[in-house]
Amino acid sequence: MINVFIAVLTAYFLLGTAIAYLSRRRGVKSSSDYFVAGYRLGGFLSAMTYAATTYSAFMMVGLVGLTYATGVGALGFELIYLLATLVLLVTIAPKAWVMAKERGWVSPSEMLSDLYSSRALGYLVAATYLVALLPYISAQLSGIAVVFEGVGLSYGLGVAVGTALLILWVALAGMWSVATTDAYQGLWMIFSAAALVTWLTFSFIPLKGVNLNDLTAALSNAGFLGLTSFWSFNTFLAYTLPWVFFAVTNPQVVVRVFIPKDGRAYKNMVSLFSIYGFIYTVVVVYVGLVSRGLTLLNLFENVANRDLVTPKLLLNMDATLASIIYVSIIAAATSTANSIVLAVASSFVRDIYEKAFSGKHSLKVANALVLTLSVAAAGIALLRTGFIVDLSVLTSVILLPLAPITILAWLNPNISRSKEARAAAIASVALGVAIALSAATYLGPRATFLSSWGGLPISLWVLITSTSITLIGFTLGKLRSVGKPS
Amino acid sequence: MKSSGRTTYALLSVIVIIAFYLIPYTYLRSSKDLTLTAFWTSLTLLWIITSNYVVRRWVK
Repeated sequence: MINVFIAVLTAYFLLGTAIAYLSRRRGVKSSSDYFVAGYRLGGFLSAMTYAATTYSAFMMVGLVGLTYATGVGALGFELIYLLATLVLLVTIAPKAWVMAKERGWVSPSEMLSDLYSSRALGYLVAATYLVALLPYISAQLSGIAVVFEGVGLSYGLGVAVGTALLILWVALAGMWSVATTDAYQGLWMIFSAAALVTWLTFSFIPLKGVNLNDLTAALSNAGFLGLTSFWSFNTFLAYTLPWVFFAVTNPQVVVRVFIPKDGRAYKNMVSLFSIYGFIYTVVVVYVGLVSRGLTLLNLFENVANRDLVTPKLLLNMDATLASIIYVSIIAAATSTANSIVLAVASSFVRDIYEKAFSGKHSLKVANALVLTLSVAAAGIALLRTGFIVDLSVLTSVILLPLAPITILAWLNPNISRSKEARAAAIASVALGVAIALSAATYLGPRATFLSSWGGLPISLWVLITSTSITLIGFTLGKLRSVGKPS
Repeated sequence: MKSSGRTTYALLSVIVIIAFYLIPYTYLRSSKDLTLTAFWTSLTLLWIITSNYVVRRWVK
């Protein structure tokens, strides 16, 4: 198994590196080329980088396990993300796409800094990205390392290989190499998932002497086709709320709205991403449900640690196919991690370095930041600190205060520049992040994710607080503009 | 697309998202067959088709 895995991994690495290297021909001369590919990406690349960035190793490992453990509620949890993202991409994001080109936005913190005419907000948002996303990058590297352990290699080697991939595929051509390797990795991910479903349906299930009707009956009897006790309304709300706003809070996703080269590319991005997301989600949930059904029929072991469902399933598979799927998990983690590193680095280059200095050495600074962030994330992953992995769960909650300030500014870019809206945005982010981090300190990150205050999930309190403050600021700003003599 | 079309799409989207939460918790909580699965996948698919139609008319 180890030899086959190394061979498949080497092939994946060589082909990906060749693609990243060839993407250099597009020319990277400025930080705009480096971070947003000069706003020149076509529809296919835009869609695939959107999909590969969004869908991390969580899908093949976490979502399969969540479905296995909690039933079909996991489908709703994942599909609401797709639905909400689609609505945002159709309603308000086209406006942001146009504004990004007109105003030359490269990083999402730069966008907010410009929309609110506030450098302080840009710094605050850049710092929030760092706090929220560094653990998330570490968790992706940790996911790669766990795959290495699963096939019998060392955890440290997994972190080293993941970090090397991350740095190399970003440093070669910035967004160009990230987008092209994302497309390659996105295809690897979807074809691997299709291969897994085909193997399950036409090989593994018949081999066990049952059919899909038997599995459906077993799942039905055990209540896995309805909402299990795990999915109380509060839990569903706590899980889905950060997901609903993911597309406007996570910088690696926000920046992908900036990059399509024209209207046609934008429309194709929306279409291809929505089709990809739908198929990938349904396929992954199917794998989780089939695995649970087989367990209920005593044909597959009962897996207590839900993150191990996919690895246990792959043990029954041919070594080559299993290796291809293991590598798809590495691809999902890498494509998410390198997009985050690029997005966080862009915030520091555009909001701090280029505003303080001439910007003459932007590309060197960008590469140095990519290296620093990747090595820091690797160091954290190597510590194997449970708290860091837990904190990555909270990433989307910490970033939640960015939702109202982003949406309202996209809708009302004139009012957002008022001093009332500006003050409110800063207070909104500061207070929202403080609530999330305080709760994480007192309750622990995982408990924060699921706990309720006054019957409402903490994530909802974060959102209510930030939205209320931002709305007050915008209302006051609007009232003042109405009262001004023309 | 006219602004009334945008408002209609936005309002319908809010209704779809609310339905995504409320219908399963009101009527399909104890689903014993694939009804809940079919509801969530059909609603999402319907909105994917609608949204793609809208974005193709809207974005120039």
